[in-house]
Amino acid sequence: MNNTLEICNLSCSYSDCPVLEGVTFNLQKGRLASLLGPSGCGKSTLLNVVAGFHELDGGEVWIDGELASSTHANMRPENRNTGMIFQDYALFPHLDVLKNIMFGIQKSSREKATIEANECLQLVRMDGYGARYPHELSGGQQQRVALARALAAKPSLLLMDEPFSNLDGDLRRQLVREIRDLLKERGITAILVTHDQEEAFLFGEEVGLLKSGILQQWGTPEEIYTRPVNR
Amino acid sequence: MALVPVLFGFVIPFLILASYALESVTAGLDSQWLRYSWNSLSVALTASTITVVVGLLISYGKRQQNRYGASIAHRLAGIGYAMPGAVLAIGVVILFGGVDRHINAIFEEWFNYSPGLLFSGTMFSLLFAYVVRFPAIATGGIDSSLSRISPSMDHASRSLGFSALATMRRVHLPMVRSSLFTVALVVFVDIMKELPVTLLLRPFNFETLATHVYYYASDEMLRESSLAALMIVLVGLGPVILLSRNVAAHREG
Repeated sequence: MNNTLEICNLSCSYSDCPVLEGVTFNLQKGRLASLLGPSGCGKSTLLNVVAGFHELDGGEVWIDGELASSTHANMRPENRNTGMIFQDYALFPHLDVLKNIMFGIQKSSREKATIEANECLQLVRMDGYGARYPHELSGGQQQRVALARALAAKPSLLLMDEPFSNLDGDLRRQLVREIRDLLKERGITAILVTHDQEEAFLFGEEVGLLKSGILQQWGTPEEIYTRPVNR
Repeated sequence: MALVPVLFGFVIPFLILASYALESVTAGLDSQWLRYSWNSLSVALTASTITVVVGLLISYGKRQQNRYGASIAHRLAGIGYAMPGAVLAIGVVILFGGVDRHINAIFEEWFNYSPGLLFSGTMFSLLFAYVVRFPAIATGGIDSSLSRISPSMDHASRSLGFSALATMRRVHLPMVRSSLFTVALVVFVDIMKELPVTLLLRPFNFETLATHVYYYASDEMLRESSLAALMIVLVGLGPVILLSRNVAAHREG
């Protein structure tokens, strides 16, 4: 088996109120998945559990064949080698674009880190913006930089929490496609969490439907589209 | 009309103080006066710096959700400010007096030598008491500036491989630096004019501006106390100006 992420029978709660129950799925290396559900269905919580920011009540999370979360053990977030991008971009406002990207590059020499950061900027087609500060960029540009920052740290799993919700219309669709192709090209494993059906189907090679904390269905977009287990 | 309280509560007393101070200056400066200022300044600076560091650790600890100890520490930090200063000072005397007694007993028995008072009656217990008393002010200000930082900033930094402490240093600290300065200034002024704890815990012959003012004022020697009192007022104006500028800037923004 070549699974980057394995989630077995995961359940968790916020102050005794159950949020996720018995969620199980695997994600193979290099696959892109979408997790679709209405707001409040627990999909962001699921990402936070995988990233190590929330403890679970039952089940296990394995990342790259290592037990990351269980009821006994919890690997620290900084040791999980997951990258995250967020709805609010979460760029550090006191650092310029290049320093934001270099934040996650832990290299011995500054020159090497700078070269790598510039490569990442090119990758997201933001070369030339290195000296700008986050507030000088548009939402779409900020999200590209956030992606470059996450990729610069070479994560084995990329977690995307509603990254496109603050963008609208055509720009959004275009960015979803572009980022999907980029991740696919680089063989990066990623989960996208969204409440937007179009976005989920556009991005994911596998789609999970989450409702009230229960994973209703997991399959390819075609399977879900043609044979939904519920409506 | 709105200026009447300011006039009677501040401007007139301030002018009277200033004229007294002028008289006492022309009559010849007390040579001790510089030393008292230095004492006040150095103690308040040291204690306010430590207090802000402690306050930052407590506030940041509480921000990391799954630390029960930190949320208890956060509540305990408020107690120091809630209780009367004299009570706190007596508590500190009892604590460190006991510690000193035990240390001396042990040294007497093992080495036949008495090191004397190490904690009680020294600068250590004074600084300790300040740092117990004032974190509530610090955490109040730091909490509100930390709350303006989205949790996704923490998550981004942690997922990029930094521990919680390194995240504080590299992400939160640069973002709250200016408000830390304001908080430190407020604590600094509070310590400058703090009286009961200082009176009870200061080492022998250690006078600050506040204790100096207190001694002379309680003997109704207002002229002699005026210069030190004026100093405290002037130092206290700093944060008022800074804070009102901040408030004005927020209103405009």
